[in-house]
Amino acid sequence: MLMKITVKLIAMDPFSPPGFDANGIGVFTLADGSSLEDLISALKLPDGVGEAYMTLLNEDAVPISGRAGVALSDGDEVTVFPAIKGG
Amino acid sequence: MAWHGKLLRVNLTRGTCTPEPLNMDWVKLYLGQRGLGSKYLYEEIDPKIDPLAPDNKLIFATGPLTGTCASTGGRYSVITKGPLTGTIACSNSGGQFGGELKQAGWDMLIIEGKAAKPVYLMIVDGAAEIIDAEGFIWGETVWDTEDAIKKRHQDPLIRVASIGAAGEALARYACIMNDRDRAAGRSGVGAVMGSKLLKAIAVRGTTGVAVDDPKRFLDVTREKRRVLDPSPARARYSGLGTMAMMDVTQAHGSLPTLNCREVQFEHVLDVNVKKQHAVRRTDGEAPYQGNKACFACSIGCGRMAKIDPNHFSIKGKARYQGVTGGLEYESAYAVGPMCGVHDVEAATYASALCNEHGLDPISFGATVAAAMELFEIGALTSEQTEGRDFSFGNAEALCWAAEVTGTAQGFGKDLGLGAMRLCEKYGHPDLAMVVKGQEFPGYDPRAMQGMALGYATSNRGACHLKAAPFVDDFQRVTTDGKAKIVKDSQDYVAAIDSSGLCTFTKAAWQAPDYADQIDAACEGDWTVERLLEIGERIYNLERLFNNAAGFTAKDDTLPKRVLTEPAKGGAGKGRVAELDKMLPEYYELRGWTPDGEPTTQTLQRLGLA
Repeated sequence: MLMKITVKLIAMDPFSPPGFDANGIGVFTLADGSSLEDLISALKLPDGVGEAYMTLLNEDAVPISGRAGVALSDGDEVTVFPAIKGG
Repeated sequence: MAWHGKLLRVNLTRGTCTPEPLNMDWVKLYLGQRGLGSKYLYEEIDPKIDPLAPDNKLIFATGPLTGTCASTGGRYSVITKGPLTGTIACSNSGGQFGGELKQAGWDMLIIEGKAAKPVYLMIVDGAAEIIDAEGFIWGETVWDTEDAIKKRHQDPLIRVASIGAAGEALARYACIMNDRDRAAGRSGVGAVMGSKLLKAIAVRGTTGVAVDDPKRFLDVTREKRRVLDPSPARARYSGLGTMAMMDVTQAHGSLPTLNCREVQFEHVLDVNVKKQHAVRRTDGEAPYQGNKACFACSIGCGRMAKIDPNHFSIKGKARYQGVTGGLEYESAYAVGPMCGVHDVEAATYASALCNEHGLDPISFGATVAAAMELFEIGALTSEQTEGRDFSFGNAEALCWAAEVTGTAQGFGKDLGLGAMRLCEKYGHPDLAMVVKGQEFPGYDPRAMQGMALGYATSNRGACHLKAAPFVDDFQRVTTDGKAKIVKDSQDYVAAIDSSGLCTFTKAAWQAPDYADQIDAACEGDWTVERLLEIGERIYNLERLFNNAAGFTAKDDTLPKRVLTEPAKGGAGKGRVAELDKMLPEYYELRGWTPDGEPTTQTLQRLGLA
């Protein structure tokens, strides 16, 4: 079984993986039982000093430490944004 | 080294400029800038005085790394008793002014007394002169003041910090502007300058800054740039600017909207970073025109904008049709979603007027938002707004408000009071989204419990820069552990704010990166532990000032709305700011009594007894 997960990337320009539209929205197909951590790994987000990524699963915040224990379901929406520390 | 060991005391009552040795014993305990300026203020004024009386002092303080080649080493702070809050005020600015002041050979300026007539201060290296401003720049805008001083003294490299009409009229949230669009923005430091009839400080510096170990300093600062410059955070600040935050707070549900009635803005796509970069059909240009960097900065986050020449706000006004500073996130949130305005051109114009006339755009926008809610409930009528519909979302009302507040005309005088005094005047004090009288920045505290605690305990009222709970707040909406994150980050930020470096560097640098650079520049051992202890000492000293001014634990609170009305959406949906769950632990971690006063033991430990 495969799941379709809608992913929204925020404040990530110019990073834009294949399959994502100009608004940073893409649909990812993952194997049933995949975790939020599996999704984040599959996105291959830019790495660097001090960089961390925050996630919202259907609007609920999920801490980095808890992602591996969060199983995704077909139709879930995941929002990903960098840990911006102030404006 | 890194300090000149010299301050300039300017007594405007007597008309004197007197060099003094810097208290180097205090330098060892407070580092510079925010810390050292706060120590001087604490020792020299009665915290109970009227902030706008001649007895108040206005301190311009640089840090040890200000004016050096350390990346972002151009910061200075203005420290005074704030007229918006009645607390100690410390406003930090970038641009070129701070670096120039340090390069002129001064670590600090202390402005005291009140001039008999409007004046400006001219500093060229070691020479300082108080000059008549009446008939010259008094009454002029910030932009015209800067141009006129450079022209009169025939030097385009003079750097100017000045006030506009708002500061002259003592608007409670008037800024001190430098380099046209950089600001010591918060808490009304510009009104203190206006109360002293001091229009501007102009400085030209050619003496340079010496450091303790030049070779090591060069090596260390290069090494730190190799960390900062390639970091994704630096690329984001440069590429998207602070405006990147708006989509984040929108998604997270922490974007203050409609005077905090909402936590997400339905029209956010009309005022976000993509809109800022989108090419207009009307003139083929985008609002975003390029970046502007401060002294020695390798980030370059500042935005430059061009307003649509066909937009109603500037049509036929050549003055505003060039490139101007803005929009930055905090300004944009305040004049955009907070007011329900979804017109990026109007928001850019309102922000530009704040720069031109010297107003804090955060407080301005949040005050207009409060006025719009007062209008919607009928507490304000078209009689006050001169016939204008002042409903949420009205971009024309926002632009008019910026014009009349910036120039202190009519209803603009009411708006210049700030949200707290405005809402009290019109009978609805609960509608002011303030802490200790200072308006919220762009983070709703219901989805960000750490920010809630940070706002409530900030020594200058609601502030997003005195604590750094962002990363944890974006991951967890619960209150556990927030007290320690807020306390530790408040101390850390206080140390960075005292160094001469920009707080944005902490997106890539860790505490040792600051310690290494300070240690290479300054005599003595500057370790991480020492810096954090200095930060804690500064935070407690500021608290002592506020306690002596009459503030107690009762003032460590938030507006009723965010304490009782649950967030309607986002990660914090259904939550209120739960201060009562965090404050007792915070006070305990701080070593304060349940009444919010540092204990004798805490004061002794920090050398404050």
